[in-house]
Amino acid sequence: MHELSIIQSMIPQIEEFLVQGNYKKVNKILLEVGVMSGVVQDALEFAYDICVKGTAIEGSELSIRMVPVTASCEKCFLKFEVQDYSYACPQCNGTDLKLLTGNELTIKEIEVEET
Amino acid sequence: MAAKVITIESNILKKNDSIAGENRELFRKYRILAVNLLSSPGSGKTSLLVRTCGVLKKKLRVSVSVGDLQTAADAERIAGAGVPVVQINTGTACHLDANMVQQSLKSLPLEQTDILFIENVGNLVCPATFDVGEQLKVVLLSVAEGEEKPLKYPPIFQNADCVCINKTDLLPHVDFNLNQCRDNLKRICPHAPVFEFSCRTGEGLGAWHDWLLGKWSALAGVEC
Repeated sequence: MHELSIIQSMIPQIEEFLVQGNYKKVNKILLEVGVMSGVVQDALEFAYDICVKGTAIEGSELSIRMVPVTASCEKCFLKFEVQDYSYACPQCNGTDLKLLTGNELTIKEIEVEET
Repeated sequence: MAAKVITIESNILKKNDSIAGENRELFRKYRILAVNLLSSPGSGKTSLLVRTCGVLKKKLRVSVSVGDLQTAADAERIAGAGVPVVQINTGTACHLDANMVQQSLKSLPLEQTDILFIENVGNLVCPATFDVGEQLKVVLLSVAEGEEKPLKYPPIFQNADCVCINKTDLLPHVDFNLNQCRDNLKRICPHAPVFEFSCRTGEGLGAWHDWLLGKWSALAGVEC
């Protein structure tokens, strides 16, 4: 249940952002979560519901955008989406890959209300 | 009152990752190879460390930081191998984070350490998400588990620098399909070398020890 730690790390970042920008409140939060980040969407939403109570972001809406695993082949330079956890290039079968996306744990954007 | 959307692009774990960066810098400063050891509970992380520390300490200075929810049982076992060890009790946390590791480093003789093993909490899910500043992630599984483990827990295996298969002495007694497991690992982490051994008998451990010594030599720029 490390999603709890992740939400607990997220809240102060947004609270700090609200204070710095002198914003009144946050309506929406959009997270980008890579499918290989080891984070489960349902658990993240569950942790969020528990943790926001009594904080400056209580009442906001959480959206989560899952990011697929993409990679580029270091041999033939094909960029592709890794399907079914098969880490081989679909064109040349090379396994020397550079991961491009899939590990994200990012606060992408927030919708705030100005005072 | 006007609403507006602001792009932030902020790493949620930036605080953890910043401390992990400090740890990494500390390891670089003291020329320490830091190895994060990950597995399910009961795969044999502590047994592996007892064996490995006993062998490596003849050539290198080894320290261990070991994480569990409660008890100092693992630290006591590893201390029996004659190396400095510190126990981290995480309370209820299911993983080690960079700060826990950083705090534990204060109790270890970093100036007299060549290899630091960080035994993570037994868990194949949560520790995968938290960088603690290590140079190597080693994932251990045992033949008493299942050959499909790499497919069930892809994030932790995908990021592994090497995979160890323990308890091979049990192979005649269990239904573990070793070839299938090797194929699964090739699919998830084709880059990672695989070592197969038994911590109980010691068979097969030599290649694992040589790999570690090679990694340390490459880091330190000297033969050992």
